[in-house]
Amino acid sequence: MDKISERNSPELDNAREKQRSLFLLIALYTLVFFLLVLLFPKENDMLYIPAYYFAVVTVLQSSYVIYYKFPFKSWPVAVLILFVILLILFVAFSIYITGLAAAYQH
Amino acid sequence: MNILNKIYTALIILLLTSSIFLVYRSNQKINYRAGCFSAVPIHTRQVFFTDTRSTEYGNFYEADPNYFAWGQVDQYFDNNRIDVPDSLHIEYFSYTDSVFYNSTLSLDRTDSTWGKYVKTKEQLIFTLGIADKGIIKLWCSTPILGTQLILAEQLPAVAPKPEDLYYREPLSKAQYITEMFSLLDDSIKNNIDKQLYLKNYKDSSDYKLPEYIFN
Repeated sequence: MDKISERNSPELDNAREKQRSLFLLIALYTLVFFLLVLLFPKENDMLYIPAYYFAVVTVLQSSYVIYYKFPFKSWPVAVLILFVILLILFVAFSIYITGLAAAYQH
Repeated sequence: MNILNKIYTALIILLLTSSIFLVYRSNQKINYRAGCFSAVPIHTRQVFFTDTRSTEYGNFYEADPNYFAWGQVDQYFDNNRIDVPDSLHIEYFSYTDSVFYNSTLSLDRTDSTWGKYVKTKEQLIFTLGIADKGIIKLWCSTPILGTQLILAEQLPAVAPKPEDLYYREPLSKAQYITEMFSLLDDSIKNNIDKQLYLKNYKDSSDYKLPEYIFN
């Protein structure tokens, strides 16, 4: 019995740490959003909030995936891929809308 | 706790502290309106409010050199979520005497009149009046405190720097003045020649804000 608990202890610790990281990440993702809203209160700047938000959460999600060495077919990697896709979409939209505004001005 | 969770916790503390500071700063910001009129034809190069706490500018709609009258503001600019200004920057070319003005005037918060407006929770409305010979008057208005003169200065004329003489391309002072006059209506040029705009506004301290501006 003792041997089993000794063998499971590091795995259990690791699972606990993973779960703690997950809660901390959720708190971070929420706080980052509120901080960006406070940093860019003006209507013109709000356009960039999603791009900045997804850039930050992609980095945080990558740290989670890399630190715990998640396999490719796991939900944290799927979430990371989703964040990357959303980041690309919002960056592209920001560039498009900025170019459109510049063209309209001239 | 592993190193990753320690980093996440440190980040959370940092973000929370930043959010609290930003909420505090956000509560210091106000909305104000700023308008400008001139008694003489001027070409406004820059006019804006600044505050040392931020890099944001409080903007004005510039005075039109072809349509001007003392006490008549064409349009007020709405400046939203911005700090109460502590200085006014103004740069313009005066057609009547062909001189350049470029000054930054500070608004003294210890002055009792301006101090009352700084502390009020009402929306502030600034009206800037520009007259001949570099005379500047700045009024502040609120529905309860009314309209009061908070700044009256006579700016010194300055020699323009090369960047002040840029209009489509770098110009000499004489070329710049010629270019500026080409933008002016002939009737106004005639009035300048006849010296019809020479009127002293140095002692003029009254301004009545139209009632509808408060609504």
